[in-house]
Amino acid sequence: MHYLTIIVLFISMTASLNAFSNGRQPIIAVVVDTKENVADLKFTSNELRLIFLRKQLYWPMGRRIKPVNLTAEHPLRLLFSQTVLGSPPKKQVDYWNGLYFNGISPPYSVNSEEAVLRYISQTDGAIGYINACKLDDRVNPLAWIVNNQISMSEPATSNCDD
Amino acid sequence: MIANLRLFMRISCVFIVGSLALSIGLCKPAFAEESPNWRENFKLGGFSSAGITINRDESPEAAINEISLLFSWANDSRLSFFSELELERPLSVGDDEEFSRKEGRLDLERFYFDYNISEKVNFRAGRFLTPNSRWNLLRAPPLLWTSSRPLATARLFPTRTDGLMVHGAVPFKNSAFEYKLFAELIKDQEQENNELAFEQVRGARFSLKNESDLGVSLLSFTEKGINAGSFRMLGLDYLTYFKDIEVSAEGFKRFNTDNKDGGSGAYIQTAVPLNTIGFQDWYWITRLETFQRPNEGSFERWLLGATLRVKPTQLLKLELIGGSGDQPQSPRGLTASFALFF
Repeated sequence: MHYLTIIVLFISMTASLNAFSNGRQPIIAVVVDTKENVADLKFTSNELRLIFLRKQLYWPMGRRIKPVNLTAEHPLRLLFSQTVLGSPPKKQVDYWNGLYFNGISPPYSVNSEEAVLRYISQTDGAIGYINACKLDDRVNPLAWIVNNQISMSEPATSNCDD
Repeated sequence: MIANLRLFMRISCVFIVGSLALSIGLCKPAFAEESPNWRENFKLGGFSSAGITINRDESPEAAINEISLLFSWANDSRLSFFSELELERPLSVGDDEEFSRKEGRLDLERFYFDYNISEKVNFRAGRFLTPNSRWNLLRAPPLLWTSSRPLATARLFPTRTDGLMVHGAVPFKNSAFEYKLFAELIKDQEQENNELAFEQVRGARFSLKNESDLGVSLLSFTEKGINAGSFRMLGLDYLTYFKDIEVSAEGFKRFNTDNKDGGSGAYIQTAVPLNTIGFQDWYWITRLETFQRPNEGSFERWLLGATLRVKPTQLLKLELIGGSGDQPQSPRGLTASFALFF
């Protein structure tokens, strides 16, 4: 192979960058159905990541985990994705295509937080996330995302307007 | 034994095609009283690619390279099923401008059942892709930046295995440690003309997935034909991102158990996003390859390409391949292709 070709090839192996930013963030609650025994479902932040990456497919008692996402453009999805999975949904295209090739679909996605609440309350083994201000008696919180950190204990402040 | 296996494969094909027909609703009325979730357990999808090749020493050719159907089933139990049925080169047109279907071939690429004991222990039985190369595990054209495959990932080891696998993922720090242990139980009897034949395949793969993916694989197998012999192989693969530039590399070294030359191969590839210079969703692809097999000599390949992500599931690829030595599996020339998931 000519030296000139090698030089051209190595020059073409270099390039660019970009960033991410945000203002006052809502507190996100990771929720499951009230029928679930929350004590049985305890997990670490890394396991939450594996659940939403579809790497962890079963709850400890053997039922299939059915994670539900908000749509890719939803602000809460962007925040959840960046904090839990480490990248925005747009950057996960190759990952999900790779799983699709192996017969694993990404989490089911819905348009609104109300749809998340309905899906979770009607689906065995479901887990999702909503703004903590919208928690109601259909779901139980398992974890919180506060200031880009995953916490297993309830935050002291709510960030809710009322 | 061979006849039985072929019969099994044919029956499997019929089963899959039948199941596909069911899942796309040909029998809807008959199952109208079933649970509304019944069909949610089945998933049907697939991928396809088509392209034009203008190779250095051959006539130009246009072809539908493959149409693959992916079919999976999983309910609330711990058992699941997956299969991939591929129609290879169903249509091609060459220099004579005549459409041809003579190269068309139906192939059961994957067909396996998974049983989950826990996240850490799963059993797989059936036909699966040999998990000793990152490229081999993600070999679908819509997942790859180029339509040509590095020689090292195609001609040094069996690309699929009929047997058993134990696999799992273990949370490790902020990522997952994954392992796969596998062994061939049934010989693959359906060899294509230019396909290498392997048997007694056993191996393991360990990978760590985080911002960077690192994989180590170990393989033991017997190769039949001109390079007949027993081999052990070490494989390493790596993928990382540096300021949005994807850098991937794999290397393989075979060791002949008779202390003869075993062969080796490696590649390094980069995919540089061109959005910073105004080409939104375009990527500049560069690859360097080296490959050596006993009795075949050694080859180098370089590849320069541009790939457009038309949609998240669609890629348009243009590539120019050059290098040394003639290798039918990796012809030098120009290729344009389009690949999609459906």
